[in-house]
Amino acid sequence: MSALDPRDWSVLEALQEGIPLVPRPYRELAESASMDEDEFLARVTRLRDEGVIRRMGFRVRHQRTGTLGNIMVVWRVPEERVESVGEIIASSEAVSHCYERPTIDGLPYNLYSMIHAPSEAEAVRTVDELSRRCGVEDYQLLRSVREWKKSTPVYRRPEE
Amino acid sequence: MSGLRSRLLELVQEDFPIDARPYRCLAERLGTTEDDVLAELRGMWDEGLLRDLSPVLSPRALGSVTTLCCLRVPPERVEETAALVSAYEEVTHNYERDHEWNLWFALVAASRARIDTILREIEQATGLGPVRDLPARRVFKLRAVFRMEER
Repeated sequence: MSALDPRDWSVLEALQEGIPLVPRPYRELAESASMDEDEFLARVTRLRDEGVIRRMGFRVRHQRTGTLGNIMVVWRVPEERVESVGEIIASSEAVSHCYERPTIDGLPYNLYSMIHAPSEAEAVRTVDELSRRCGVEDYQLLRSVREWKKSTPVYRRPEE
Repeated sequence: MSGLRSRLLELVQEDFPIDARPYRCLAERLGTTEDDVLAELRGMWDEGLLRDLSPVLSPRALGSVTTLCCLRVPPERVEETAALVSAYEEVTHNYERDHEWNLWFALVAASRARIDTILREIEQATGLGPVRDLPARRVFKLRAVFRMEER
């Protein structure tokens, strides 16, 4: 991946302000980035192809669009099975995130996943099915009691 | 949710066109008009179904560092502790969960040093002992795109 130049950062700053809901949104963003629309579109395409833009899409408030069962599930998996179990869990449509993380005192779990379903009961059923499919019985459900913050990360150009 | 709305919500989550007239492209794919697409998106924005209108960037490609942390907080101190943690711009998610480790928060920061500074500040300000820091060792999946059900 090539390094980002200052004009790439201008594009990323403009995109982070949000794509306006007008017929030619990139022309407006290009203006705020002091470049023409063609250059702006070419840079967005390149940044997407290079993976700097991971997903050319917006985030939804999934609780408001019908995904009401959202649970963090942590799994305790023997070291030699982490890879195969991680892949099984990741392959489920209901799983949005699945990571291997370090274990610590009081938290001996090494796989972390986020499960989503239309209802909590369905999410719990999905977890149960996953447990049977990957043969891991030592896991915990961490339901959210309260959302204190959920925001979009802000990325700034590095200082000179 | 109407058919147009649910299909549009799926498309704009992962395949927003890079084209001078992106809403016209979406309209062509959905068999409707640019005006209808814009009206539907404005409606969804006003109703709060969309959390933002910007693409998802890669922290790693931008030189940023991420982690997930947790703290054990006495119930009577959850609110003040959550507020203190959430005040950091680098904290993007902060959830109270029904577990002994009850406050879970994710950070995206410009450097590992910045994360260390924030965690030490939280420890000093709260006196709740070390923040547990669980940076990902391996990513098996990272794909928060939600399917819509038509009703």
